[in-house]
Formats: sequence, structure tokens, C-alpha cells
Amino acid sequence: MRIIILIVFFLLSFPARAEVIDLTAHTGLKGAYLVQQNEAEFVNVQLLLDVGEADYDGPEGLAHYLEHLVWYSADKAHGNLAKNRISNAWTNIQFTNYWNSGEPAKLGDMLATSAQVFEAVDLARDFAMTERDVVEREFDYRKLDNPGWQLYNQMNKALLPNHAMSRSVIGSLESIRKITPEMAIAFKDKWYFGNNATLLITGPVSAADVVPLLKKHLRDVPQGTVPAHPWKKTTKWDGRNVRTVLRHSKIAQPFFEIYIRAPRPTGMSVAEAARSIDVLSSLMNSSTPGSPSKVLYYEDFILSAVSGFAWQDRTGSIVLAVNGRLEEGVSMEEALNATWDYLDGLTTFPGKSFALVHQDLVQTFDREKYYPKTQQNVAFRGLLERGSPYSSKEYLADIAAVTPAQVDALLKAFKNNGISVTGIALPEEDN
Amino acid sequence: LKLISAFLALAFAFSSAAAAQEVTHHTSPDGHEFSFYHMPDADRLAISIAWKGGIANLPQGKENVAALAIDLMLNGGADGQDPADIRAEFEALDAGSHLYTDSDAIRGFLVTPAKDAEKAADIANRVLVKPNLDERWFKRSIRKTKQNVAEKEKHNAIQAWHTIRRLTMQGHPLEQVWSVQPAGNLDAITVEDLRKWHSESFSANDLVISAAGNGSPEEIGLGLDLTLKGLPREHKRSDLPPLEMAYNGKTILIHRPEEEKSFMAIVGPLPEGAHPDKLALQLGTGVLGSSEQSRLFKAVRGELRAAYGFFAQIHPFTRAQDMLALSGEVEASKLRETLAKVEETYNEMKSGGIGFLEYPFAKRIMMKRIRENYKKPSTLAFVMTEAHFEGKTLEEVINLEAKADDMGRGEVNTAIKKHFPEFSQMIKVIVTPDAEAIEADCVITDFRQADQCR
Repeated sequence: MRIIILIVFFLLSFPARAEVIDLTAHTGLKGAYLVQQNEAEFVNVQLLLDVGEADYDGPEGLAHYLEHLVWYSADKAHGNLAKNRISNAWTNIQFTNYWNSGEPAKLGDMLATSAQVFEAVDLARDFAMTERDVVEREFDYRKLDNPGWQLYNQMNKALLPNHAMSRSVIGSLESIRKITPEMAIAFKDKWYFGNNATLLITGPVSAADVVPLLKKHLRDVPQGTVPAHPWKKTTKWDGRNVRTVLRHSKIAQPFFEIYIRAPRPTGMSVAEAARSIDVLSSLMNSSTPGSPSKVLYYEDFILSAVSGFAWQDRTGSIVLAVNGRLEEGVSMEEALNATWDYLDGLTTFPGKSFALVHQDLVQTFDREKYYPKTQQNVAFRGLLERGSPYSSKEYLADIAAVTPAQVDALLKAFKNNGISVTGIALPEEDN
Repeated sequence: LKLISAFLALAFAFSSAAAAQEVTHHTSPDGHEFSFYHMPDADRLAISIAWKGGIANLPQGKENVAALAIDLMLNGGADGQDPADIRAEFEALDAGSHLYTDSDAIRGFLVTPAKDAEKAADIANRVLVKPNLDERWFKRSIRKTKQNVAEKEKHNAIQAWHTIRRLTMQGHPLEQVWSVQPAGNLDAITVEDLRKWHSESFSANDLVISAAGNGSPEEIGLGLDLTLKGLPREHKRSDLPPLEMAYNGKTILIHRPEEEKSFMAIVGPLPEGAHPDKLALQLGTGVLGSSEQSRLFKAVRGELRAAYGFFAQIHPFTRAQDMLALSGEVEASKLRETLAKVEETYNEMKSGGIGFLEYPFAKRIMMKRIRENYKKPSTLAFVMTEAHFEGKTLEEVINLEAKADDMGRGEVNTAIKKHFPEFSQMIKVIVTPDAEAIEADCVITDFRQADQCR
């Protein structure tokens, strides 16, 4: 009997969910967190810096170019032999993230690599200059023949002229060629401080494993005065509705995109808005009654393809987007009019649609909440949205708590306070 | 200590029980035979149905009928029901499905929580047995396909791959299926063709059925009967002729002066997918070109600074024909150096294999992926069906992890040396705005001229 009691005790003592452990006090970072996942095989270490392209005001693409340099430099943290870890980095408009993944025994190497991010870039200038060529090739690879991205970039600049949030993260070939390694290093010196970075460790390691290594590698990282983010500049909510046209050689069929940007509804917290936006985004991308797909694709045969989605960013704005391709015999103006009619009439979704989509989101997350990858993604979303990780339990509760009234409040904000941009993409020869 | 030992013994007993899971064989009430791998800890049930026989019942020039019919079945509604309603009904189940044609079978997958298996099977049955296949949706599907084809061929990589298929596949019907070229062939297809193909191709016989996940054989049997209910007893499916591929080793330059960038693809033959050395070749391909630590990445990006990335992949064309492809976008002014560097890097890999320091981590990554994938019922259902077509035992494919674990560096390197094609045998296709960028055996301006390069 005692054995059974002990076994039950053992089983109960295993965490039902991976919870977030705050280890900030052992580091010189703004935040350091562990999500212990005994069932995972690899440890993931993500170092998120609160700086992105929106924090620069020179040639576009600098934050991303700097990320390339820092990644190469940091990767040498523990020698040039086989690394036995996977690593990469990314930059977006507001953040830069350096990540490593490998066996638990390599955690020390990964944290040493993270610490190296704050050190001086250790690369020959020639190499740094040729890395700029590599960034040009990345632009070629990802953006040059990508009219969807080019239209998105053009629309942002049309809607938010001269605003930090309308900067292009990768830049253009012209802007990349204006950047020098010295400009990138100067930017790094301004923003790359321990007190401007958050660390997230997920995987089969305990706090007891992690803390000594944190103390060794990340306690004495450089500190500094972090400048105010230029993207905090206020947006003018004047109801403007602008239009921009892109012509591109890779377009065979015209398409369009519409973005409506609005301030987050008053009284709605960041987390409430984030999860309500998730539900709204799923509704917009579903085939349920009230969705753009149901109305414009299935019923009216106006668009031959359509998708809708929504998101929020750290400026306190929410965004609703619809894009579509024209059905045969439908002109661009007819398609745009029909889509705007749909958006103008969108004040709520049928209760059945909300129930189907909401239930699916909750069920899916409830099912996947034990997956290490899901836990990692949810924790990281917390870093992006509020600066500290979400636990799976908290995230699930937040999704489950979303109400139709909250989704309606988002729609009302778009309708009453939105500013919008319509982007039209046409074949190059279609003049 | 005794208590802890007792607990550990119990824990091991549980894990041994899990490891002892094996494939069982069952017959549904309507007589459909299926294999089942029980995964009590899984949260899904996956059912794979393969309709044996390919699409050789289609007339020449109409090889795209099968893909169009499947697109319409999945997206055009069924049993008179509105397409949006069917999709919304299915989306609400937290389920997934897949339907596509292979060279020797039509393949269908249903992945669903076991509790929703009956509802998912009911929807699948309507789609399989009574698709609407109406004229209006057919025209929409044709239009979208043509637009996609027209848009894709504007891109360098697609130009290269259309050329590679034209040269290697030697006019096999699958070239039309995959390249959809000539796109004008689509104009000859009617909705009647789709209806005829549907009625002749889906049947309740000649099936290979595999299931994996957390359901019971009884639930699966009932779900299967519901899915297949009402399908004809006979079919007119037949396998396509075997695909024989040819690699002439030529360097082909596609000159596109209006382009701003260049693309390079180098392709050669590998043994059939069922070859005992397949896993070793996958590992070798990964080390050669699948990450930022790969040989090609380090050589072309790290040393030459000529590309953002350069990759190696295995493309399974048919069960008997795998292709090794090395490819990437390359700075036009460095094409010549890049080709030489890729050749040098590749030959080092072929002759020397995976290094002593590289091997443990590369294998670790592969083992991790196998373990992760094998936790998914959909993977198990898929590999069990593949085992049938590849002539392997179910136990062989279920125990892939053990096989991978037994694989040593010497064995892997022997396989790489033996099976990686000679670089001189591989076809090199370069798409570039600079006609003089590289010395080529054949210069063309569009994939449609590829026959000149045989």
C-alpha cells in the first residue's frame, strides 16, 4: 500500500504542464526564463533583443545586416570545431532574436554563444563587407520576385508615411548597398545591452542545471541606457483611406490587399486583445458564415481566392487584412467594391461561426499543449507580447475566455477608428 | 531505496509494454482488411487508404484530369451541399485530410480525434462518393490552375525544374502531371472527363488500408465501412508505365536577359526509395546541404560569399526513381566559381563521406526527427502503407529507429561513395541573365527548348 501511495505521489509530483520559472535574478538580463520540458530531446535557447529595424533611421535593412554580423561573430564563442548545435537568428520590425538548439550537455556552449552577442563583433572588415553581398542575395532569394511582399512594403509606406513602423526590415538593394559595417556596429553599441534582452530556455533541463551556467555566462553582460523606441510615435487616427499600385514582372494575375489599422479598443488588455485577435483571425480565414471566403468566394463568385487575417503590434494597434484575386470577368474595381461592402457590413459574426472557430482553437490548443514545440511557441509569444513568457495553462485560459463581445469590439474599433490602405498588384505589361 | 526500485521497475514495465506494441491485422464488418498500429498515448487516429493502380486510365494529353478532379472533389462541394458548408463542417472537427495521386496508387488520408472518427468518415464518404463536380466550379478550377502555371513559369527555379523534368523523364506521362506543360492541354479537358475519371477510379476494392493511433480496431472498422460505403465494386485504375530516367551530364544554360538573378540546379540519380542504403543516403544528403552547418552552406556562402544558401535534397520521383538535387540562387558574377566549388565540395563528400566529428551530431539530429515523426499516427499510417508498395515487412518500417541507431559511420560512408552519382554524370542547369556566365553544352532561352539539349 505504501508503495502505491509513493508511486501516486511520484506521478502527481511530475508537472502536468511545463510552467515558467523566472531566473532573471541570476543574470544581467532584463528577463531570463526556463520552461522545463522533461519529454523534449533538445534544449532551445533564445535571446530576444528589444530592438529591430524600426529603431533605426538611416538606410533600411541595417538591423538585419547587423544580426548577420553578430550571428557569425557569436557563433565563434567556443571555437571553430563542429558545433553540435543548430543555430540561427532573425530580425523583424521591433525585435532581433538569436537562437540555438542542441543536446542538454551543450547548454553551456549555447549560453556562451548568447553572451557573445553582447561582445564586440569579431569579424574582419572584408568579411563584413562580403556579408552585405550575402544579404543582397537574401533579398534576391526572399523578396525580389515576391510581389506580395513588395506590395505589403509599399502599402505600409503609403499608410504610415515616415513612420518607424513602415520601414522595410530587409531594405532594398539600394539601401543595403549604403550600409557599412561601422554603421551597424554603432547601432549595436546603442541597443545591445543585457538590460535590453530577454532569455528563454526550453527543454529537458532544470533550474539546478541552468542557474550555475547563467551565472557563469550571462551575469556580467554589458548594461547601458536603452533609448526610447522611435515606433512609439503616435499614429494619427484620421480615417484616411489611401491607395497604392504595384506593377511587377512576376504577376500573371492581378490581386489586391486591404489593411485596416486601428487603435486597440479602450479597456482591452494586451493579452485580451491578442487572444481576441487570434479568434478574429481564424474567423476571417475560415469558411464559416460571415467570413470573407464564404461571402466573396463561395457565394458571390467575385474572387477566385481570398484570405483574411488579423494581428496586433506593440504600438497598441490592431490590423485587419483581406487579400484576394479576381474571378474571371470581374474587374479590379468591382472586386474592391464588393470587398469594401463586405468589410463595411462586418460588425459581428454569426454566433454559430464564433462557436465553431472558438471551439476549434481551444480544442486544438488543449490537445497540443503538452507538445514541447507548442509550449516553446506559447512562451515565446509571451515574450513578444508582454515581455515575459506565457505558460500553456495561462494561454489556454486566455483563449477560452474570449467572448463574441470582444471580437465585436475589435470590429467596432476598425469601423469607427480605422485608417486603411488598398494595395493593387498588376502585371507589368498591363498598362 | 526499495521503494524507489519498485517504482522504477514499474515504470520500466510500462515502457516495455509500450515498446511491445505491434501491428495487428483486422477486417471490417463490410470486409475491408486493414493493419493497425495501436498508439494509446496518441491524441489522433490516422487512416491511410491507398487505391492500388495509378492514373493510366487517362488518355494521353489529359493526365491533369486526376489532379483537377481531386481539387474539385475537395473544394467543390458534395452530395448537393454547398462547398463552404462542407469545409466548415470538416474544419469544426479539428481533423485533417489529404487526397492525391501517386504513380501506382491514389492516396487518401484522414486524421481525426478518435471520438470524431464517425463524423469525419461521413464527410469523407460524401466527398468520395458524391462530389458535386459541377461545371461552374470546374471552370474556376481550370482557370486557377492555368493562372498558377503561367505565374510559376516566370520564375528561374521553375524554368530549371521544367527543364530537368523534360530532359530526365523522357516523355513519361508524369511530366505532364507535375509540370502541367503544355498548359494548353488543360483546354481539352471537360467536366465530363473529371466525372468519368472519378467514377472509374474510386472503388471499394484493391485497397491497402493502414491505421495508427488511439482508436480501437472496431471503431476503425466502422469508420472505414462508412468512408467506403457506396463506392463501386470495380475500377479501371492501372499503373503508369515504369519511369526510366536519363542523365546526360550536360551543362545547360537558360539565358533570360530580363532576369536580375541566377539559379543553379545540379541533379543526378540515386537508388530506389526502398533500397537498404536509403537512410544512409538521407544522412549524407543532410550533412552535404540541409542546414547552416552543412558542407555546401559553408562552401558557397561562408567561403565564396556567392549565395544566401545552397542546399542538397532528395526528390523521390517514383518509388523506383530518386533524384539528388543540389541547388540555390547564386550571384551571376560568381556562377563559374560556384559550380567549381560545389563540384569540389560534392566530390569530397562522395569520396571521404561524413567526418568523424560531424557524424555523431548528424546522426543525433536524424534520430530525433525519426522519433518525433514516429510519434505521429499519420507518419505510422503512411509508412505502413509504403511498406506494402515497397515489399517490406511492417515490422521493418515500424522499427526504423532501431535500424537508424545501428547504422555506423563506415556503413554510411560506403553507401555515399557507392550511390552518390558521379558529378560528371549529373545535369547542371543554370538560369541566368548573363549568357557568358558559364561555359555550357547547350544554351536555350526557355524550358520549352530543352529537347535541344538531349
